[in-house]
Amino acid sequence: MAGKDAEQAQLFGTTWVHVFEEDSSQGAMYRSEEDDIPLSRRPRERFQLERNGVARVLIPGPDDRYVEQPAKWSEDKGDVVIRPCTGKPSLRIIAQSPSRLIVRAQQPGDS
Amino acid sequence: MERVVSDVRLEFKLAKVTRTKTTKNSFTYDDAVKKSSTGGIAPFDPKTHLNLWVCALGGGLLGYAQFPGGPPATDGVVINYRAFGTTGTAQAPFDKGRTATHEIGHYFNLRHIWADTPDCSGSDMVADTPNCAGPNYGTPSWPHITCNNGPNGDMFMNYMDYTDHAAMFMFTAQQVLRMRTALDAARSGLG
Repeated sequence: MAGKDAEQAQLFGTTWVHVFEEDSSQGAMYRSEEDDIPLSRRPRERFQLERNGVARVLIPGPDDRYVEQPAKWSEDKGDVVIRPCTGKPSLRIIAQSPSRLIVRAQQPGDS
Repeated sequence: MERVVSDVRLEFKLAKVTRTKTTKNSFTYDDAVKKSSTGGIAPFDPKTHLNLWVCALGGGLLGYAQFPGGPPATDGVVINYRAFGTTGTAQAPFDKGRTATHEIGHYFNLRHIWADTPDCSGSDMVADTPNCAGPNYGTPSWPHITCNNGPNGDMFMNYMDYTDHAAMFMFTAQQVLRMRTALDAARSGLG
């Protein structure tokens, strides 16, 4: 359990950025905003998690500044799942290391 | 045939360059770069000057802007030093100075040509940019037709799309009119 808590703690306090160049059949690659991430005009979706179940999904706005969309996260079958309040697909974190996450998008009802 | 490409007829004079030492490795879209308390520096007289912050931006972000009418304390544009200018730290394919052109377009009230909607439902409030379904990236092949905008398709060579710098080269007449309207109204202090 302590290991699981420590693993979850790595998720907080970081802005996770979709590095689509590194996506694979496993899922989408997210890396810490602090990493050396290639320049891209294609917007990179981002998210942030807080300990209390609050999440924020960040999408680019009309002036290229990111706009926060409210979301919630919870555990489901041992994975952290982020559920945007906008009805957009959920994001399931299926693997993680301190600076990288592999994430799968899933429609409501998908398991 | 009606002429579409238009000259903005706008020139800038460099007022000053301020170099600010910071302990931050990079900034993000949260305007921290615009405040000394968060490692940045406040704008210089934003009512009469366009402020450009050139800094490290995390997450591969090229830059961002602020439309007219926003808070003076954050007014201006922010550009990643790796996507600014044409020499030195500028990295291909963002090394022809067009990040600044795009962000200053926002500063003068221009929207993206796809109106930030993914389904042809929006408008950039400019009549002579064809409606299109979303941003274009890289150096697209012409024509790229969406939203029934044939035969010429998306105007991906417009500065307000998301293509590589080498692929964008124009504003339209109506975009210029919109920018000059901003210059006569909310941005009139620029002179």
